[in-house]
Amino acid sequence: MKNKINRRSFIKTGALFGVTSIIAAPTILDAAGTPDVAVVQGTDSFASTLKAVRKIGGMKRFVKKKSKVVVLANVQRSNPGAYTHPDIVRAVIRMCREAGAAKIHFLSSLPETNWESTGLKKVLGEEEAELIILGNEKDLYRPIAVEKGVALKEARIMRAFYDYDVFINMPITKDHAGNKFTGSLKNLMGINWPMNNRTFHKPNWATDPDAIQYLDQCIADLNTVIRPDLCIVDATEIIITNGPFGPGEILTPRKVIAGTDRVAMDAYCCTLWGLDPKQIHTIVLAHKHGIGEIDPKKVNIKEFKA
Amino acid sequence: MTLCARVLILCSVCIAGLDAAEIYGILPASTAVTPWALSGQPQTAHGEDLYLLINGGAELVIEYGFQQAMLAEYGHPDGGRVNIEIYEMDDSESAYGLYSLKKGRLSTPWPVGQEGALDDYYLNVWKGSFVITLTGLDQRNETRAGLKLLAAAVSAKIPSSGVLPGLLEKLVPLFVEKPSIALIKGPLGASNRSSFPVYPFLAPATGVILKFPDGEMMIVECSAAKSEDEIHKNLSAAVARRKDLSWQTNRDSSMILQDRSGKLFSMIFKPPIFYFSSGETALKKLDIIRRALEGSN
Repeated sequence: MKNKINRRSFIKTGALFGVTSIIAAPTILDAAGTPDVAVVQGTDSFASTLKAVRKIGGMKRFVKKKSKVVVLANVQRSNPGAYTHPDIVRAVIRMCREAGAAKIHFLSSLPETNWESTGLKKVLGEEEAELIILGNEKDLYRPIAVEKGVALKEARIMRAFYDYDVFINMPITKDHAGNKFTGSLKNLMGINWPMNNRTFHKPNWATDPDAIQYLDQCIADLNTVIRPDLCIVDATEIIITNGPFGPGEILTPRKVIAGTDRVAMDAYCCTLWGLDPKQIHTIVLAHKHGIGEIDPKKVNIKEFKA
Repeated sequence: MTLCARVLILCSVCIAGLDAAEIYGILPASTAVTPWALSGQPQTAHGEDLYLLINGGAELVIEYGFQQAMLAEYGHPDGGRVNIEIYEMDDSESAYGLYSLKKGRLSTPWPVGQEGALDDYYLNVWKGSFVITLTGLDQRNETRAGLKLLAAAVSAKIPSSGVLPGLLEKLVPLFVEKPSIALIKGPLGASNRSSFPVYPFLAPATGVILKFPDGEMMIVECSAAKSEDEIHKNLSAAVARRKDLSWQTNRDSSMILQDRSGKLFSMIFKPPIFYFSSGETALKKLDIIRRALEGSN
């Protein structure tokens, strides 16, 4: 990782000193012409993924030799347009392997059934990546103070997550019943304790006018203590109604998006089905936290054909 | 006892007010849906455990009044796959509400359960206090046929039925061209379907959202505890935070707003009913709807 000598040791040290906020502005590559966010469109999702990562500097920029890589994919449900496509996952594993990764692990709190029915377990097996499914026991999740948290004061992140050097976030972008949109920012709830995720909803959420914005604030807050080294977003076939579980109306942008700026990537993705990023609270609040850039004019987003 | 054996035995059990184990009995036996067969082990959730089964979006189902759910997959020998989700809700109104939100905007009515809605690759069914969602996971013709076969088999296992919520019974006959109608029982459903965030100030309340090509109408039956003054004050404060809106009229019972594009939004509160309308079609229909609802109050 170019911008972090050793994230694991940094976090351990930080925890010792009571420092848990590891947020920093996204790294902007100094190489001329390299985009902050690469968008590749094509019918071959595997090829699109390879190209998108290559366009932002290649996997070796993020994965050093012998590093341990953890990947967070979305395996919500095998309904079409509701989970990260297996071809995209396969491409990422291969790129990590080629970059010299010693371990490539996928962490999940969702049952194996989800990994089987989405076809992702088969891909992981074929590509020799390991799937680690954690239970819901509290001890498996480490309490992390959210110092910059406006609503969320304590997160509980999978303890196993801190055993890795590189974190690759692999959401599928889609509709969400509560937030109207989900992508890179919201996907991080996948490494937080499911019981802690429940506290993202106010106790009186059914009658409190600010309840939905509270959820958005919690997601933005969570993003202040976890920073993916790389985000690769599936926007190939996505549901734009009845999300995040589906089934719903399907849109097929056939795009794979790679980058490090979660806010910019989410701001781009929501426009795929006509949403205004400035109306999506999670994106606005994450931008306010300094997590990334909401204004597309300030981000070098480049589109390519596969 | 194997799961399949358990399913087969429970399939013969009469289902009425299901307990936790009996929801398995709704799954059709393979003999009833040949050549489709249950694939893998179904997953179930009760009450707030739904958060563990549906990791994201569970709160919307809970908002409608949730009891228990089961997810299962059926497979065809030629490779077709269908996901089945069965939700048992608090009552038939809750079930209809969830069904109305889940069905697609362009769905085709399908004769199954008390009401069925067929979309490109999925089918939603409402029957009594149950909502059934079936999703085809591939484009095969047999999978689409399987959706209908499995839906009918599941529906036949549910003996209870329910009535259409009162608001809808009064509204549906008023339209020749049926608009997309969703029943709402909480802020998530409302925010999911409405472009204007007025519902949270009226909650807890049941309402409907009618979508037209040029706008929408929300009709909410408020609780007696909501006073006209309180609603007016809260809405005025909410509008004041929106820089894109300006007042045309702001009186206690009638408020008209305009956005930057000139689009008009009307809010009328005739206790206990609150009306929000946007777009020409909704505004034109408002008087007829008010007569139908207020005339019968």
